[in-house]
Amino acid sequence: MTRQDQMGSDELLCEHVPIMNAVIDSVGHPGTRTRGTIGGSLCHADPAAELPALFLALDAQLVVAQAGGTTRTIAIESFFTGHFETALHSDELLTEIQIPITPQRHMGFHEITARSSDFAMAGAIASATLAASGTLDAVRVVTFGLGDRPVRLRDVEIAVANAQGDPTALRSAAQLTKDLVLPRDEIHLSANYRTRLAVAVVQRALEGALAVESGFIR
Amino acid sequence: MSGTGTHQLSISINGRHENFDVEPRSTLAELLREQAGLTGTKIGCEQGSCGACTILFDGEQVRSCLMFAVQAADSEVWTIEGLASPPPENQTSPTPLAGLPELAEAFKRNHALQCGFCTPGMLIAGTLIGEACGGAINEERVKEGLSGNICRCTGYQGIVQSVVEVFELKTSNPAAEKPQ
Amino acid sequence: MTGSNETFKEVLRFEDDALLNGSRRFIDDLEPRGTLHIAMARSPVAHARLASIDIAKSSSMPGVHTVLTGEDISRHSTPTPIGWEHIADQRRTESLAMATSTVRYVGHIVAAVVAETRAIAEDAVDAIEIDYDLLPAVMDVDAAREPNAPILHSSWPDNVLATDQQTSGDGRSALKSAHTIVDLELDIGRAFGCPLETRGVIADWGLQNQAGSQRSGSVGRLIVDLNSQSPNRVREVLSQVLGVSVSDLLVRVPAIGGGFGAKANYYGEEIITCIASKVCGRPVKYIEDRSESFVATSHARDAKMSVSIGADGDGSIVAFRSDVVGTLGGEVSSVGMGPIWVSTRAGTGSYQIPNADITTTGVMTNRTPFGSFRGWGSPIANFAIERAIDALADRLSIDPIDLRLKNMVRPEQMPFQNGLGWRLDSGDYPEALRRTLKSVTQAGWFDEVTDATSNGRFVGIGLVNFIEATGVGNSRKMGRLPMEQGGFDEAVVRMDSTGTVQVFTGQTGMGQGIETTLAQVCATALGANVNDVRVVFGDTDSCPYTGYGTGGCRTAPVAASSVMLASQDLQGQVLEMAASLLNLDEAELTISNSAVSGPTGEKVTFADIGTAAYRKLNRLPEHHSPTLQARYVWDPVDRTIGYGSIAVMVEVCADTGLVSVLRYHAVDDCGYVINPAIVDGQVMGGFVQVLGSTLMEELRYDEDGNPLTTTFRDYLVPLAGDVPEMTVEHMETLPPDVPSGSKGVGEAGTMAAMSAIAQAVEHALPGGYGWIRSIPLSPELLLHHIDAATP
Repeated sequence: MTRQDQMGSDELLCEHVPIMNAVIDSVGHPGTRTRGTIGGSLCHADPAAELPALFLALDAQLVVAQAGGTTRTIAIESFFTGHFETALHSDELLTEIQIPITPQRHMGFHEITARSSDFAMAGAIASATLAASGTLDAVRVVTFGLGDRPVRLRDVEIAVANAQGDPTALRSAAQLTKDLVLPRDEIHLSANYRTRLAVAVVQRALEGALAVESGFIR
Repeated sequence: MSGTGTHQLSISINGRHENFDVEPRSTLAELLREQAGLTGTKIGCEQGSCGACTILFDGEQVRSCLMFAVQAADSEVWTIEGLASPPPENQTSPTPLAGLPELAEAFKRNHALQCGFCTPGMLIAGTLIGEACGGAINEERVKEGLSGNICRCTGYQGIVQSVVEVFELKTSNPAAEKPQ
Repeated sequence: MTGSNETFKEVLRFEDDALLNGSRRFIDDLEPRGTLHIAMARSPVAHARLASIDIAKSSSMPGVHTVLTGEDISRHSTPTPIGWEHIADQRRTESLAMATSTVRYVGHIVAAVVAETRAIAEDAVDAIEIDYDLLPAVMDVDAAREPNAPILHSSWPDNVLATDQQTSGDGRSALKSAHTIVDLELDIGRAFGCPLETRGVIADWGLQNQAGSQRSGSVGRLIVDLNSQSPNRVREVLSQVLGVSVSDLLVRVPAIGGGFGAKANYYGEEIITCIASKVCGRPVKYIEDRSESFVATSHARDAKMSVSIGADGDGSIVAFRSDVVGTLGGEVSSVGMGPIWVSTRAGTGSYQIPNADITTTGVMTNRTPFGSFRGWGSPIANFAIERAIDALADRLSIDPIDLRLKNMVRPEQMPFQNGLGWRLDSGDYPEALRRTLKSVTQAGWFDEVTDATSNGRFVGIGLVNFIEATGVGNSRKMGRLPMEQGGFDEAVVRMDSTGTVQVFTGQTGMGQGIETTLAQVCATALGANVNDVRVVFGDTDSCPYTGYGTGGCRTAPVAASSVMLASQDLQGQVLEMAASLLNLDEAELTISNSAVSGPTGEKVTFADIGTAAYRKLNRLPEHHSPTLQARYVWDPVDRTIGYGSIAVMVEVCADTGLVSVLRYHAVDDCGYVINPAIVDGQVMGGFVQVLGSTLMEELRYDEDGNPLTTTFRDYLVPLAGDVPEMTVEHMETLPPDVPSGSKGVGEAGTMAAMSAIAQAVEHALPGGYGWIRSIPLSPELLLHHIDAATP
C-alpha cells in the first residue's frame, strides 16, 4: 500500500486533510517512512501511533480482502480492538482506506514526546467542518498514546460543538478529557501525569483546528 | 516462496549487477555484509531504531535491517562503499548522492565522527536531508532529518554543522559572489 | 641542538578516511574461514534455581555443533577474578562465566549453542528445555539488607559486597558544631554506556595457530579478537580462568565502536566463546545483539546518597557527610563496586572541607551486574557535593556561585590533600568558575533568560564545578590498595629503514583519536613530520603492556608521557647517527619535519638515516649498532586531577514539565591540549551522554526483576534535536609531575552535567535551590513547581 513518505505529496489528500504533512513528519523517522505504509501502520495498531488516530478522526472505512475473493468493509471505529490488536482476521488483508470528502475540514494536531523525536507520550487530533450556516459540524476529537488504542472523546466533541467557538467554553471542553482517558502507569510516567498531558494535547489540537483565521475564536 | 531453502536473487549493488542465493529470513543488511562483503553498513539494533544500517534503496534511504533480502530483488542498492569512494573505471551508471563525498570532507573538518560506527548512516541520511531541503536548510531541519540516526560519541554538533555548511553552499544563489 | 616546536594541533584525524568510506573493520566485520556462531541462552527470570536443563532436542538440530551448559564451563574454566577487589573484607562469589545452579538476574547466561549460523544457534537456544525453581527477587537495596532478606550468594551472611569509609578531621561529629546543617536524600537512576556497537568476540583456539607441538597441556594457541578497552587484562584473565599460558594467548583489538567503560570490563561471553572454540575445534564468533546488551552489558550509576553539609553562618563549609549505597547486580563485575567506592575519595569535589566522612556500601540485587560507565563514580559524587552546596546556599540565602567561590580550593594551596586520599595536584579552580561566568555573561545568557522570563517562559542557568581524576595511577600504590593491576604504560617507538615511524602503544582506540594524538606527541618529541608517524594498537603480540587499559583517562597523561619519552630517546639515537652521517657535532644540528639539518644547509632526511641504520651500515662508524628503536615505561607519580566548571541554560515546558537544554559552556583544564578538536569532542560527547541520564535515559525493572527497558524505544538516548549549542574553553595549567604536560579529559564532560542541569532548572522555577534530589528529573515534580508559580 501507499508508503508514508508519499502521502505528503498527494494534492487531493493534503487538500482534504490539512494536517497531513505535520502528522507524517511525526511518524517514525525519514528512514522508516520510505518503507512504512499507511495500511501497515493501521494494522500494526501501535497505541502511540499517529495514523490510526488520524483516520479515526476522518471517519475512515477500511476495505478488507478475504481469502476466497470476498471483501468486507470495517468502520474504523470498530477496527482497533486493543493493544496492537485489530479486527482483522489472520487470513485477511487491508486493501483500501476510504475517507469521506467533507468540505472545509479544519484540523489540529498536537503530540508530546519525551525527546525531540519519539513515540508519543500523548497526542490528539481535532477536526471540525464549517457548515454553510457558520456553525461547527462533525466535530472529532481523538487522543492517542494514552490507552491501548486511539479513542474518540465524544463528550468533548459535543461540548466543542456547543461551544460555538467561545474560547472559555472550548477550554472547559478540553478539560473534560480528564475524566475520559484512562492511561495506565507507564515505565517512566504516572497515569496522573499522562492525564494532565492528555488535557494539554486536546487543548492544543483544538486551538490548532479552530484558529482565529477560521473565524471561530471571537 | 517457501520458508526453507534458498532463493535466487538478482540485485544491483553499487552499480554492479549481482546474483545471490539467499535464505528467505536473511535481511538485506545480512546479505550486504555477509554475502556481498560490504561491511561498511553497520548493525546497531536490528530494530530500525538507530539508523546505523541506513543504505540507499531505489533512491531512498532505507533501514537495511528491516528489509528482507528477497524484498530487494531487482532493486538498486547503494552502500557507503559505493557512495563515498570515487567510482571504478568500469562503473557505467553515475554514483547517486553526489554531495556525499563533500559531506564526508566536512565531517573531517568539523570532527563529526569519533568511533565512526554511525557515520555511514549519518552520511547517507545527512546528504538526503541536505538535498531535500533545497534552499531552506537550517539546523532545525537537519536535526529533524537526522532524528532517526543515533550517535553516542560526538553529541551531534559537528554532524549538524557539516550538513548545514555543505548544503547551504550548494544551494546558495550561484549568481551572488561568496565573500572571500 | 634545537628541536622542533611543531605541535600539529590542527591536524585532521588520521582515523577518519577509513571510517568515512566504510572500510575500517570492527569485530562483526571479521570472520575467519570456518567460523561457527554462538548464541547465549539467558535466564528469563531474575532469581531461581536451575532445576534442569535438557539439551537433547537442541543438540540434535541440523547445523548445531555443540550445546554448552554450566557443567561444561566448570570443567573448562575456573571462577573469574575481580579486578577491583581492593576493599577490606570484600566478598567473593566464585561464580563462573555461566550460571551453574542459580540464576541471579534476567539475562544471566545458562547455556550456549554453537552452530553453523547465528540464526540456527538462536533457533536451537529456543529448543533448550530449562526448568526454573523461582526464588524471590530482591530488587530493593533496603529490602536486601533486612535481616530476613533472601541472600543472593549463599556463602555470604548478607547481600553486601563490601563497605568502605574515609574520614578527615573529625568526620561527621564535626557537623554537630556547625552553625547550619542541611540534610538531603539523593537518588541517581540506573544507566549504562550503551555504545552504538555492541560487544563481540571471535575465539580461535587450535593447534593450527602455533607451529609445533603442544606444550604443558595447552591445546594450541588461543587467538581472541575482541572489542575490549583492556586487551592486556583480558589476556591475563583468560589465561588464569582457562589455564592457558599468557604466551599462548594473543588478543587483538579491531576498531571499536564506542567503549565508554562498557567495554573495559571483562565478561563471561569471552570465556564461554573461547571454550566453545576449544570444544568445536573451529573459530567461534559471538556478537551481542541490541536487546541482549540491555541485560548483558554492565549497568552503572544507580545509587542512593544520604548527605549532610554543615557550615558557619558566613558560609564557610566545616563538614560534609555522605553515605552512599550502590545498587549492584546479581553477580560481581570486574570492577566490583569501584564506581561506588570512588565517593570516598572524590566526595568533597573542588572544595576545601576540613571535616568529611564518606561511607560507601555495595548491595547486591537481582539486576544485571554493575560496572564501568564513563565518569565511573565521580558524576554521582559530584551530584552529592554540588547539590549539598546549592541546598546550603538556599538555606543561608547566599548566592550559589558566591558560596562556591568562598569554599573552593585556591591555587596557592596546590598541591592540596583533600583529606580523603586524593591529592589535588594543580590548577586554579576559582578562576575556572570565574571564566565560565564571564564567558556566558559576555555571550548574553543572562539577558536571554531575562527576556524569556518576561515572555512567561521558564528558563534558567546553572553553574557548577567538577574535578576529574585522570592518569590512573601509580603502580605501587595500586598494588598496595590492594589491586592486581598496575597503572604504568609502556611505549615502543621504532623508525624503519625508510625513515617512517611506528608508535606501539598498549592503549586502544575507540573513537577518542589515539591514532592521531599519540602520533602528534611522537612527531613533536622526535622532530618528525606527523604524516610519517603511524600508531599501532590492539595486538598483544606487538604492542606493549599497559597496566590498566584504556580507562581512567590515561591516554594523555600516561600513554602520551611514555610515547613522548620514548620518542625523545629515539631522537637522541637519530641525532647521533645524523651527526655521524653529516660529520658534525650534535650541538650544531636541528631536527624538524623528518630531517636533520646542519648550520649551513647540510641535511639528511629520516629516510637517509633509516637506510643507514638498517641496510647500509657501512655509512656509519662502528660504534653505531643497527636499527632505531626506543622503549619507555612511564609509571605515574600519582593520578593528576583535571577540573573545571560548566554552565548550562535550560528551559522547562510549562505544559509538560519536560526540560530542554538550550546552551552549554565548559571551561576545562586538562593541562596541555594536544588536539583541540579532539579534546572538545570528548568534553561535548561526554556531556551529551549524561544529559541523557539526567533527562531521558533510565534502565528500569519491575518488582519481580523483569527489565522494562530492553530496546531503544524504552531506553532513550539523546538524539540530534536534544542537544544544546555547545562551546568549550580551556585553561592549560601544566601538572607538575606529568612529562606530557597533559591531564586526561575523556570523562570531563560527564562530571557535572547532572548537578548543572538540576541547578539550572531550579533557577528557572520557583522554590529556591536544592530541591531537586532525584535523577532522572521528574517532569511531574517540575510541573508542581510551575503550578506553584501560576496563580
